[in-house]
Amino acid sequence: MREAITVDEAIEDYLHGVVRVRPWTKKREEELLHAFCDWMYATPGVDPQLAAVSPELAARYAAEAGLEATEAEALLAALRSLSLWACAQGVVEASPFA
Amino acid sequence: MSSRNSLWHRLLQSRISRRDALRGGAAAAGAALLPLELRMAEAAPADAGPGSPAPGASQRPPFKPITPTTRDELVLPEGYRYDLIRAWGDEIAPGVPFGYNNDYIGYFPIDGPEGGRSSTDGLLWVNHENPNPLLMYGYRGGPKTPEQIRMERNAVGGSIFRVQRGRDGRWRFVRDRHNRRVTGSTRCRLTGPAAGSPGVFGATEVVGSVANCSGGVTPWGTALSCEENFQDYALPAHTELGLGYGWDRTYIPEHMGWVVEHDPYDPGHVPLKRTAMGRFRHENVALHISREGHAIGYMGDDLRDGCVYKFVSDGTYQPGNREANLRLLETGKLYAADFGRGRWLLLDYDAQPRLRDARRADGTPLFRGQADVLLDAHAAAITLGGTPTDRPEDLEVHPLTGHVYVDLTNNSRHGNFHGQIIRIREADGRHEATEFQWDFFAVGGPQSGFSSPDNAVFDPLGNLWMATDVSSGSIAKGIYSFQGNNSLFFLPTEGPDAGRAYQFASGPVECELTGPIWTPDGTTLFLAVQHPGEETTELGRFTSHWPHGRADRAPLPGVVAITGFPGWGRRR
Repeated sequence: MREAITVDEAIEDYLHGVVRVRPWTKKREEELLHAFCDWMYATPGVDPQLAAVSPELAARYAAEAGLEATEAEALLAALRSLSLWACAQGVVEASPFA
Repeated sequence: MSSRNSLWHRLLQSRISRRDALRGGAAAAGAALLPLELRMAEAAPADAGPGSPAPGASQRPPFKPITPTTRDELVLPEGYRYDLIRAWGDEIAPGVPFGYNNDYIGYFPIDGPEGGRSSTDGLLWVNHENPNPLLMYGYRGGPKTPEQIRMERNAVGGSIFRVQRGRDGRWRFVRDRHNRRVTGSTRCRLTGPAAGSPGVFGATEVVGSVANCSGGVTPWGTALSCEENFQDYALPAHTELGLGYGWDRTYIPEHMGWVVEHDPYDPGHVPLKRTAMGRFRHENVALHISREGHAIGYMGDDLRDGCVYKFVSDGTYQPGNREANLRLLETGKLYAADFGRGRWLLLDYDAQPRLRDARRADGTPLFRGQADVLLDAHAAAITLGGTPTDRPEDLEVHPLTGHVYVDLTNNSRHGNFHGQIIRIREADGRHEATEFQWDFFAVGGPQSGFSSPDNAVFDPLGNLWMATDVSSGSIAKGIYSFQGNNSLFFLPTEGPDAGRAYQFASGPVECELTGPIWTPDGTTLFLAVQHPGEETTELGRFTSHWPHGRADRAPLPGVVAITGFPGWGRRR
């Protein structure tokens, strides 16, 4: 029983879990994910649904936002973790990061 | 003419109802003197309707309200004090530590089995919801050792221990034969329709109880703990950005997510997981004995867009027959609320063709029988048209009117950031009814002074004591700045100030106040301080120093006893 979930909803729930299991990564992930989320909402043609998040979209954002390589890598790791978490929670069918 | 008659009859009826209710109120004042079991069992609330007076209820707080604060302390009104009873790591029995992140508290008079209701000597049941690997043992990522997982398993579940109030008025922990732990490794028994089913891999005995959030007490003197975020434990922790607690393969999610019944008076009791009450992210159970004698359990699924549920036992409560009552939650009907039509939807595979016809995307049946319906009650509820709500937390039954108060904490999906409290009125005042009305009691936000209602308890006078749960990362920031730290509020349910929130307590930094519960005489309120300093990212740089005040030690979740209350029927 899966319902469509927006990327900001997913991030909110995900970070709520992060603070319980590894709070030391939360602040950095929060910064990266929120900036990515803002870009998704602001970019025409990008659907701000969690299901639309993919490595390709992350790469496009990294290029457009001018992220340095380490930042782009950290973002990709955070999105992968978010996506796998959502998959494990049953929020999405499958993760394009798997 | 007929419409006038109709109106007149309605007015007359309402007056009669009110008169009857007032009579009931006089009785209610005396009811505080009855044994707890009898009082709960005889609760046959008048059908007063939302907004109608709840006679006997206090309309004024018995304290001078405090103002919002971000102090790293449990702040109480003048004239009130707290005693720390147990904190994480304290022993409750030789070599047996009190668990982590205390949540729900149940108070059981030590003389309860003999019909007594001592308010100075009792057993506490305390839920332990989840571990904090960083603050507990300095975990910084990577594969967990078996010893670390064992430590986490031992930190969750529940604690049972004795407490007494001394002649000096202070509460103390007492060593006692009842003192013991339920942990993530304790042997538990599944009961009801899903026990032994394929969905639980044929199990009737399971290992451990986890994620115990809020709960409830039964009139027959047992505690109900509610397994909530059970999904977090099997997710891996070993990757750089681990997803969960990363417990080993002995953790089976299908064995969790139930309401668990515990007998605090029986040191050898095996916890009973009540599958008839459904499996979802259980927040609490408001257990009520109806006029017809059924055990009614009102429950919420603490999930964004989660539903509200009602359990109606097959059997009826038998005063004085504890053995029979201990089986009441084994079988019954489970319903989900449809708020759009004011109906309770029966989650029954045989009676509901839509459950039998429901399919997954690949065409396979969503449910193979009633056990599957219970195992994924949310899917069953949504299939039948249950209403997705704004994350139901505690539900509580008003002791005088029988209305069911539902704390909906918030739901950003619906643009609801502060939550609200609604109340359900069952048709004809029958808790077995399949139809109901509902309305708003209080709405969170700066105008009311509170945000994100969560745990709650009624006092016998019908006032609601409600604790808030703003996420620790948002506390006292941005749109939540008006409230300060998470707090405990007093809300009258009648009179001109009905629904107005008076602030009673403010918790330490980043904590959530949980598990408020009264002694029978109303002179003590037990309360849990959960996850203080939760946003700490590095040992030695703790964001809270509660309760010890030391900068070099991790903050500790703990249970306190608050005194200074006048008791029922007295005013300060």
